[in-house]
Amino acid sequence: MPLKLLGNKSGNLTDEYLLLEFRERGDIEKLGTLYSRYMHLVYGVCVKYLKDRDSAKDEVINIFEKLVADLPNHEIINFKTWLYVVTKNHCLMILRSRKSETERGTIMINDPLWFMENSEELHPIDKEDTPDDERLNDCINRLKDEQRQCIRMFYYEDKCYKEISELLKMDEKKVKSYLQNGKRNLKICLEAKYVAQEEK
Amino acid sequence: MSHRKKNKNDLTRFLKYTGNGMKGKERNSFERELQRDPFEAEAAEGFSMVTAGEAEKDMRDIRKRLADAKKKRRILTPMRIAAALALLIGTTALLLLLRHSPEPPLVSQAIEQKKTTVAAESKPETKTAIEENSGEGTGARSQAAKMSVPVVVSDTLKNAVVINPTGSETVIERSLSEARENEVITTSVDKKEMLSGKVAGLEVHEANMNAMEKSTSGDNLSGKRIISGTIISTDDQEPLPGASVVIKGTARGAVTDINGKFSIDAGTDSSLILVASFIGMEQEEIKSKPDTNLLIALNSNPQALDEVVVVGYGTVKKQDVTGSAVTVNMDETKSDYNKPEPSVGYKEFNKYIETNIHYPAGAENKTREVVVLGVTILTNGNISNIRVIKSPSQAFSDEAIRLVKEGPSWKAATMKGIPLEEDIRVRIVFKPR
Repeated sequence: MPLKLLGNKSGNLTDEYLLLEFRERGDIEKLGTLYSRYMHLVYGVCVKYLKDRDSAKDEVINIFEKLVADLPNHEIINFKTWLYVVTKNHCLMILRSRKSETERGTIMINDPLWFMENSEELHPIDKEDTPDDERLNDCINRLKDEQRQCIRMFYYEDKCYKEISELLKMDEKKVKSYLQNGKRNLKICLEAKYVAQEEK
Repeated sequence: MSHRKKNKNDLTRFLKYTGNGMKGKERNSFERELQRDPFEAEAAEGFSMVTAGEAEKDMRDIRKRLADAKKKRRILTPMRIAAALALLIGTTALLLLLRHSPEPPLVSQAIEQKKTTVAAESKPETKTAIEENSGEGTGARSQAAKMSVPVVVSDTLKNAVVINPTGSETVIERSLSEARENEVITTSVDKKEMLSGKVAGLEVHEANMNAMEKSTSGDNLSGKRIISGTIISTDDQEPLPGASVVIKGTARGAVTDINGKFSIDAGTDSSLILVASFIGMEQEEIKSKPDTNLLIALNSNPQALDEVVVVGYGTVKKQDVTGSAVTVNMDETKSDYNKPEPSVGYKEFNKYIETNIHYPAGAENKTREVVVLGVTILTNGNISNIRVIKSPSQAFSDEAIRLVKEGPSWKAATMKGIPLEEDIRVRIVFKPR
């Protein structure tokens, strides 16, 4: 077991190693360590959907139990992404069953972000160092005013949502949605540019 | 993920952010991380609904409960193995008694080859089978429970034989650990837990009492063969009413009743495939024989629900349509589309027209005349772009336009509650007085 040499300090073990240990040897402790890295995220998502701290707590435990049962049957490349999907689906199913217990149709997910595509790939502007290339710049300039302002302030002037919302005198939610929409438009614009370049 | 350690948004950072402990650049770098990762973004939304103190306390609670849960697991496991061994001895005795059962050679071979593996492998499932049957027991089944033991056991033993030839120790170790998991799941006496154990192990259990009967008594005299069973959801182990079961390749099928039960005339086929499905669940195919009673557990498939897209036709603003799905409040779908109408209703509107209409002074012999106007009702209910579609003369047109302009306000058309801009035709009749 050469992997054992890494010792027992779980602080700097990779997710992949912990996952492997659990899968190969059924070491629940390892899964626990791995889970605790993202437990706050699971908790946050549960609060968001279930809107109730106590149920959120219960579900964080339930999701862990579910992992113990399900993990061996799944090929997982990125644990965090997978956990996100599991968590979200779990919450959805709870909402669904709550809905059927009480009146049908009273709980509706009215969150537009819900349907937003969560692309696996990192958006160019989210990369480690925001690329400062001409194409991106050009695309940013083509954005609508609000979207451009928000993107510039957030990504180039390192301002937080709150500061932007104060400066532009708009709600924080608006700022977020301008960023989201701006990013989407940027992506479309950039993709078009790449295609145009390849054709040349 | 792990290589970007310095920026990682761990609990501390989340609490600091929620507690407004971050300013300017630090806040921005936290938010950038949220932009990169939808998981963190959604979690942050959740955190924004509680205070930092509450979140911190909850996380402490959760950690404690998880630690407890893990501890319990560890203590119970050795007892489980002991129970498994005891059960093995019992089962072996039973097997010896029932040597004429379908697969005795396989069974004994397996036992001789690797006793330990058999012990670990067979125990949890056997236990499940017995308890399930006795749990549901309708008196006559106590016998069935006894009989089903060899069937299920020989099934798992078959697995053991398949595993064994590969021989290496790691394989055995793994099957042991798998078995341990099954045991963990059956820990609780709670019947629901029992069911979920079954789900993790195998999807379908044949409570195969009738099959045994059949093999001894030869062909059934009454020609009618029935497959019956129950469909449940793996999520809550509750029965699924209204799920459908069809014999693959035929039009024969059934829909489950309020208790999730179904029964199908199996016809003459000796073995067939059942397809069980339910909206929001993954479809499941099960091999079956006539005269069996099945328990089918369907896995939920939220994807299947997401894929239901309702498309409505009508004029919808472009911003509502491009590349997005609009959430529909089910209460409103009953009347997807509402035409524009006067805010007072058509009846009052007609009354208004009748009382206010003036037959144009210049018009000579007073005859019945009709003016048709095209009117655009904007989303805010305002009237715009009045066009004359049909009119006997300018004087009539002017009067008709005046009536509409000065008349009651309008309600915009709505699609699923969203106001739409819509063109309507207004017919105004001039009657001689």
